[in-house]
Amino acid sequence: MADYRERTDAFLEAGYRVVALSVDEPQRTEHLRRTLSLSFPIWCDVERQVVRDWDLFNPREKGGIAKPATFVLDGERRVRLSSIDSVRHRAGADDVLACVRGQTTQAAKRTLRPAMLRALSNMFHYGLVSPRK
Amino acid sequence: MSAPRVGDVAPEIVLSDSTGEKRSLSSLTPCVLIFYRGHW
Repeated sequence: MADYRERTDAFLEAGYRVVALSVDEPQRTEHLRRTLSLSFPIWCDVERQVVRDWDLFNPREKGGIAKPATFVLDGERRVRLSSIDSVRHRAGADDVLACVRGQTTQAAKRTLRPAMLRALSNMFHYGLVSPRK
Repeated sequence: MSAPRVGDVAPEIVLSDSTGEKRSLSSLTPCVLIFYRGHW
């Protein structure tokens, strides 16, 4: 979670909000959020309905908790990255950020490509050196 | 139900956050959604 705290702004710059979810009660969760200075919201799935619906319910520990997992969702809620994690291995915030930026870059490429082609064409036509005054 | 896979549309979520504010997943996307174990 601290990983994401450091990168919340970077995700926002890439157009993505960060939101977390656990089965903990609101009071305990809010205490954690303040203690760790997290600026993103944390959902409290106290009834464990969402973790069941998403098949991320681990009934074997502590009365039933969420399995660690990370999803990148686009504006239509379509899954762009899905990582069902384990305690020993979580999708790192940097990797997720790279994925999000990659998608942004893909979109940017489509816009930038015509401009880049024009620049290349100019370079071949006029050369790399700026014309002297 | 199973966890949504890449390319699937994720199920809607409407839940209260730790401040008591009710939020829907649709109002937060595009987003990175992190499920964590809790009970720190």
